[in-house]
Amino acid sequence: MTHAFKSLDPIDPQRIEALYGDRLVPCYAERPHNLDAMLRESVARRGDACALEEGGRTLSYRQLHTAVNRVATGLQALGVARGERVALFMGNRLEYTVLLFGVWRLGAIAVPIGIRQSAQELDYMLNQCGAAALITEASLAHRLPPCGALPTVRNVVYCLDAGESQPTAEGADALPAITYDALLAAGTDTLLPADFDDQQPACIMYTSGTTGNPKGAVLSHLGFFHTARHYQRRFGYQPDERMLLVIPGTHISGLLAAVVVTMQLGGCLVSLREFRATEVLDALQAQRITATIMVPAMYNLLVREPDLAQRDLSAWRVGHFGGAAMPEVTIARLAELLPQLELYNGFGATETTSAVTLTERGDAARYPDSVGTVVPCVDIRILNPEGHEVAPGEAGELWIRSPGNAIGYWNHPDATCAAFVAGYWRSGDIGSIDAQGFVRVFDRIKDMINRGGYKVYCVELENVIQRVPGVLEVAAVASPCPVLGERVHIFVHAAYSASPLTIDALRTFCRAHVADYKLPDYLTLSPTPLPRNLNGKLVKAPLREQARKQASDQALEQTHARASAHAPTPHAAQPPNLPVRTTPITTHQKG
Amino acid sequence: MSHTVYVLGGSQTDFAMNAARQGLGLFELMSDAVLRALDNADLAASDIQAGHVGNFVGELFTGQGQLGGMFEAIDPGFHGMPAGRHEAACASGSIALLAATAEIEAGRYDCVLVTGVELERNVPGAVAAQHLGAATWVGAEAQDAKYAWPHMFHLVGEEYERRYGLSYEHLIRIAEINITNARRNPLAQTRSWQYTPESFTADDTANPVIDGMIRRQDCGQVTDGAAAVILASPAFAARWAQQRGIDLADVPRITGWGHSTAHLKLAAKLERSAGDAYVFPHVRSAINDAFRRAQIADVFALNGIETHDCFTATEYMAIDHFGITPPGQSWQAVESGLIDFNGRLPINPSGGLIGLGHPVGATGVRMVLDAAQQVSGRAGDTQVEGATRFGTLNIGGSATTVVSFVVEGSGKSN
Repeated sequence: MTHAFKSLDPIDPQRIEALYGDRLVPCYAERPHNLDAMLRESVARRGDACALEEGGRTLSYRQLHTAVNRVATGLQALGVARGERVALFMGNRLEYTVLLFGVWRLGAIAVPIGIRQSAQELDYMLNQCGAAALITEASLAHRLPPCGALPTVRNVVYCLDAGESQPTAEGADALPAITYDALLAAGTDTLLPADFDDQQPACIMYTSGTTGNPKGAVLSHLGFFHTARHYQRRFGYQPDERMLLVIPGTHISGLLAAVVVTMQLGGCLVSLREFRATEVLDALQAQRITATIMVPAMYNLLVREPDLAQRDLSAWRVGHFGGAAMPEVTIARLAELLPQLELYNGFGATETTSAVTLTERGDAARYPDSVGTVVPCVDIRILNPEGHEVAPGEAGELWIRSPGNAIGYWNHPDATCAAFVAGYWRSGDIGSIDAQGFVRVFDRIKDMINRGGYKVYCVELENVIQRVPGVLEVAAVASPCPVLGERVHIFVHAAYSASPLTIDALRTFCRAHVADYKLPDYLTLSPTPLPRNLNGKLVKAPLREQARKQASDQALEQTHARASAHAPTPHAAQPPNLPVRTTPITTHQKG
Repeated sequence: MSHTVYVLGGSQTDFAMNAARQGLGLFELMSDAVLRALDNADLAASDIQAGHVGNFVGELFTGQGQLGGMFEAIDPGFHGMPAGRHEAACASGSIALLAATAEIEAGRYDCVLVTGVELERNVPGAVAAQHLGAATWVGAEAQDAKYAWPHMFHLVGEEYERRYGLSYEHLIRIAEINITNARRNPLAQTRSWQYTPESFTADDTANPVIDGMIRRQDCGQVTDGAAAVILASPAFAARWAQQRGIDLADVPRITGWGHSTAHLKLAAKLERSAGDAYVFPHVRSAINDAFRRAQIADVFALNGIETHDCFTATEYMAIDHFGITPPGQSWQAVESGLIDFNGRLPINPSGGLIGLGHPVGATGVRMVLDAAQQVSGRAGDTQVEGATRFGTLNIGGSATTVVSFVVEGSGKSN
């Protein structure tokens, strides 16, 4: 069953293919045989056009093609073989894309690692994937684990900025290190054939697991091509797009929605190493950027820039976002200031090689709560906890079948077996698909608040509270409750106000928008912005911990109060008119 | 698929018939199926360019082999036609079909007849069980079991029990669905058999234990019978259709096939799959091969299935291996009514091996025949409304030989 009820997607011919043994998946029938072949097609079409721009440096497609071959053959000269892992620990520098495609031309597996990873995480990832080479930048030399901790790494390559010199080896056990330029010099201009098929792994991407060690999702050339093609078709990308990369290119979203799609188009990838609102606006204007992929928080910051209205951003046509819901106020403000800008939401995961749903043109403002419709070749089923498909519009876990589904987790057969079932990936996300095909993603399964048997999807409540005047950021988390199991605790970061928000005012506001059982129970006003992870996504773990602590402190106080005064305990009492589901939800008993 | 094979017609004998009691044997059963198939396809014996016979244990039950030689005795028009007999236990009929489709795809012949036949009720039940045990690894497994196959599929059920948990209520519900479906089928062996509500429970009197978790109603039947289909290349089918004023689009066709073979011993199969989510990964891959060749992404592109259900545990296995549920969760499809006659994906509208009957060598042929009739609106009272695509799964031994077909049609009778 597909959900392409309203899709205006062009009809690219598809065929069913057997992937990685036992998965049957519809795939685009016409495609290059791997990502290197995809790049060569762009080189053939767009040889003289600019491919990469960063920090005043540029490379045309023809120059990129040559440099990619130098990287591939240079790595080969260093003894890196097909199928070996090459870690790319660096920011959005020009060399990143060259290295990525160089690794792919060689048939090796790239392991992109973001520069904000801790030394401990970096150590874990390099060892878990058994990286043969580590390519990084001089400014990150001090962040590398001691080389004795990296038994598999045989070579380190440093990218240098103008004026920088190669970091000196520290300690007697320093690994052999060369510069990026030396790597190119070690290579040759004899073209490597890259004659492998596209079911081969292209990348291992470590997922930011909230518990335990990160897992390395093994993603194929085929998956990368498909996701890039989805973007191209949905957003109407042309060969001359000028794409801004300002989120990390080492993250799945930046890698797919900016780097790979631009190389597929034959467009120009303009990279910024950091997000600074003014500099982004400068780049948008001066570089005539046509498309961006950013997190909603970045769009929020841009619309707050006072000179936005004075800028000439007329070239900017596509504003893609994901990772969180875009506040409706931001959508409205962007529409007002930049009427030509088309906003597109999307939903995907590392394990699906990014997007499996994307907004169709014009829908982002009309259906701000939707992440779009399912893209071609992808099937999403919504299953309840008993494994049955739910009716259209009802919520359940998203099971996803996509050409982009990871081959598995690197060296992790148990986790692979548990997550990749019968051709589908169990996303662990709760969402719905309505009768028109609009997909909504509410929350992670474990983030849902279970209030006396009633499920409260945090994002629904957060979207409502975001509209309260003065609210900058909001997060809803569960607070443990001896009676209901869980209650709703809201954290708000608000602009300064003489009369701060109260829980009663918040409840009154919410009452007009949501069911009574979803009303917040507790409110914490945070003077500082709410915690976010390296990718700019709000992290709820510390907030949950705080809510849990507050709840236990309160319980303790109440115990004392009861012991001394026999007073009724207001917090443990059930609020009036609160429906509580008393019948247990039946679960199937086996055996 | 470029190598589409058309199904021009076919026939099945009445599976309720006890052949020996009427003085009939293998020849009469086969003859009945073949002549009616010719009639059904409006073809003469001389139009058929090659013949294949599926038969498992003719030698043991009747002493008779060399069944390819019976064609000319059926109709002199078959004189000289190349023919042969195929054996792969309960999948013998499907192996005969694969030989025929391969010949058509290879361009050797354009019109090929496939029949399957078995005579099993001419000996006492215990003797029949012993003969059928030839598809185990004789002397190495099921040696102490009174009935080899109930024991073997008890072990399959036990494997599900061990890996995922298994309730008998789900197994017996599978039997009840099949036997209920068989009531609509005028050729079904059990169509007028009497059952009580207790027959479909773990009642030791109404539904006695045969071996372990396998009880009386969990078993496919011991059946005398034959089936036949006539297959053709696209060129032959186009000419055939045009001469008869039929739209070729309305002629059912085989669009996908999958075939795998595993180690003869059940224990070896289970040992190999110990770390896998599927009990028989090679069954899954045979089904996937058929789907891929038919260019369908999953089981829900089918409107119905004719599957092997030599025991309820077999069908229980087929459900998750088809991808109807996640591995080990077949009970969900049983419980939700999804596989009922009026469910979203009916399984065995014919009644299956449990309800319709199981003349071993004929079963694979009978499945493709039923599928072809379903997708051309000719399945009578067993018709799944509007069906245009059916799947089959035929297995031999303890899932040693596995064959799956996808059959498509317009849903309109020609």
